[in-house]
Amino acid sequence: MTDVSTTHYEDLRELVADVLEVEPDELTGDGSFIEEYEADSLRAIEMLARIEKKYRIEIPQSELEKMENLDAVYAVTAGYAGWSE
Amino acid sequence: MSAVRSTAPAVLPQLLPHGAGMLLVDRVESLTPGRCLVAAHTVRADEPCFAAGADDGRLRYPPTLLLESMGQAAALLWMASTAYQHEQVPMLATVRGFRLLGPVFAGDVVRHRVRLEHCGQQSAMASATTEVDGVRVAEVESLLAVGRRPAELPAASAAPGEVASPPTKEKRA
Repeated sequence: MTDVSTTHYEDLRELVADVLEVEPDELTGDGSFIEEYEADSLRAIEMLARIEKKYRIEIPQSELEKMENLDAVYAVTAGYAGWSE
Repeated sequence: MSAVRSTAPAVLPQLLPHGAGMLLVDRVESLTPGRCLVAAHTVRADEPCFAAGADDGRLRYPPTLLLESMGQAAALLWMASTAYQHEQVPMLATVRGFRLLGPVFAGDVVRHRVRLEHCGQQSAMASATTEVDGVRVAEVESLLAVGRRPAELPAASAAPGEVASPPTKEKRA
């Protein structure tokens, strides 16, 4: 990752951790939101809305299925935000 | 959008999917679509929540209903935005940072000032404050609403203007 993408990733880690009500350093890249952090569909929607607000983008709710962990959230967000590696 | 801009009490039941007794916004006093709204509700002594009376003779409005009233005001603001899809039903999904700062009693007029923080086609986030006689009595950092199509809701809960049967809301405070 470049410095910029690392910054985006860490910003997303903070945002996601806040939604899941865990400490950022507890959140691993491949840890399942549902199985490891007890997330439900409402948390997922809140995560999506906060990402949209923060980066001023629109992500279809159909993408929620893919956003199962932090790495996947970064990948989806990067795609809609136009971040390049 | 135009329907909300010209909102009158008689029109509100057609805009919000709540029936008598749970419609907790009486009028919209000002509206800037996509940005902010001021709406008011007069807490009446004959509201169902007061059916049991009060031990000390003072009818104190339940904070949950105050929050519901804030949420309905926020829903109207979302419904007035260009991004809102009118075939869906707005549902309160998540509440963060709600603080009750003072009591509300029957007879009080609560006035909600709502700001739309984010607006999408299927979800919206808003913040709000509530005043009684110019004194802030409540505030909420974030109300997240999602839109659900009638077919996605429990039976008999979706038609605007009808009394919704519980459970109709995804609510986590």
